[in-house]
Amino acid sequence: MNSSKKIAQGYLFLKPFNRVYLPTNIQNIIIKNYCEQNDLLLKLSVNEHNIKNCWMELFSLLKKKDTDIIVMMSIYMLPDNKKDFIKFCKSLKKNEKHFVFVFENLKIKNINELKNKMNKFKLFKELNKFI
Amino acid sequence: MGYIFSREIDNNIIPQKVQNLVIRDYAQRNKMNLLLSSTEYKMKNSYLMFDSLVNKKNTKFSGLIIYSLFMLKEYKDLKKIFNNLKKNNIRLFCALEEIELNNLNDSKYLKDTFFINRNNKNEKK
Amino acid sequence: MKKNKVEQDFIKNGFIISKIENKKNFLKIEKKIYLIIKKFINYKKKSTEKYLFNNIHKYLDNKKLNNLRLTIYKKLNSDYEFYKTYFSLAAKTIEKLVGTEIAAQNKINFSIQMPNDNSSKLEMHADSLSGESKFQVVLWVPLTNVFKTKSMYVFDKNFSKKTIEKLDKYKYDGMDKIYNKHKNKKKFISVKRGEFLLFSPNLLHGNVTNLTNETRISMNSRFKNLFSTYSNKSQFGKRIGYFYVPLTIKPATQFALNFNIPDEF
Repeated sequence: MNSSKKIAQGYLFLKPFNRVYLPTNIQNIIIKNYCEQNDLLLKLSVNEHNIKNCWMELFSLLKKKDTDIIVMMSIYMLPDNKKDFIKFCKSLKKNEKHFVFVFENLKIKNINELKNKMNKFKLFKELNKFI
Repeated sequence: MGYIFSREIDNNIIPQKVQNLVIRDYAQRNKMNLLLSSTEYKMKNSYLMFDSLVNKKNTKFSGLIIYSLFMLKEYKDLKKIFNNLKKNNIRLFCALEEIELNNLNDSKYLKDTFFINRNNKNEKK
Repeated sequence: MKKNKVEQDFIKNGFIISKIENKKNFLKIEKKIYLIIKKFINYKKKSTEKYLFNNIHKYLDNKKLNNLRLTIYKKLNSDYEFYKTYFSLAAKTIEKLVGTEIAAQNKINFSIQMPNDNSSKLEMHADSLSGESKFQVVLWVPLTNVFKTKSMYVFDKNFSKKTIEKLDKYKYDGMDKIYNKHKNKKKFISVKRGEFLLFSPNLLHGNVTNLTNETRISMNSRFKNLFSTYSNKSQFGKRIGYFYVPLTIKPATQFALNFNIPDEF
């Protein structure tokens, strides 16, 4: 019965994202809640390292063969500099994962969709500085 | 009854629906029946809502679950909270830290915690 | 152990193993866990704690493992001062290593690793990379003898130090690549029942699938000097109140708490 369910894995971020800092156990509660509501099988979440410009565990997660969907709090957790974002996109293209960004209520199925949304939310972030 | 902030908690933005989710999760795990949460006003150092919940006896709820003990950081008289809780027979829980605060010793614990945190942050400047 | 040997060994290796200091409290905790497990799995036979702890996997489905772990966690930590009882298991040694004004993790964690169960596997990591203070020590106490894959492993101080300093080399690969390349360098720590392990979370450590035929149950918690930094940056998460509680505050600090020295006029 369970083999028809998609396998999700949580990605926990220890640094602030868009001025929000959430303890990892809170992120876990939110991820678990989302997966229960959306009938996903949840594997143990992965903690990113608490180092600036480090997305090491995210890159590792992209390569995991038994994970279909990566669930994280926000699109603002993704690499925010050009060099790392390009590497991230290259790896995503090879590994074909789906993403869920809980705060923005986004389900991303392909890289073009992700790039579009990234640009859109970058713009929102800039606008919010002035409004 | 839940209690959440509409302003920053200890210089941190925690979305209200996240605070609610944490409170609801804590209530479920501890087998408590949760009513809707009350939201504190946005103004700096406002505890109007909080005071209205703890300052008088209430037949609707016997416990108050607040998102985090750090919401009480700017409260002027911590001892007054515990005196009121005792007088009105209300239990106080902190969902994030997963603790119950229920007597005057806890007001000292809060004071020590806030002091050490503040001291630690000051040294980083 | 000689007076300075504990400090010397810790500085040299980043960990020490020693005898539990408060046997009475250890037996109390052990008994409590034994009764919780007995009730959870509905175990009615007469047996020793040693037998049940080593053989839980014969009576418990994998799917219920996390529920059991959370039940033990919740029941023991419902005593809000349980962290003090846990501290007493190695109090003198912890004081020698971190000082006498101590902050303790506010909850004690439990780990159950049944034979051949992948779900409890903890990949190689260093707690200091996850926002925890690099100045803390981890007190790890197994409830039975642990060895080889039934135990946890550490990488030595030099390897851990060099790897963490050059972590950006693996920026796009992940920790599992480092582990796969160097896994022959890891060392499993043997600890007997009645002993504790105190280690620095700056050492790379983790566990593997338990290939023995015995279950491991262990407890762990963190202790640090009250005034050493709480992480590289001051964050909402792992600091006093939310993650740590003050365990011992000395009179000078206690006295100073009464004074609010203004920052500015």
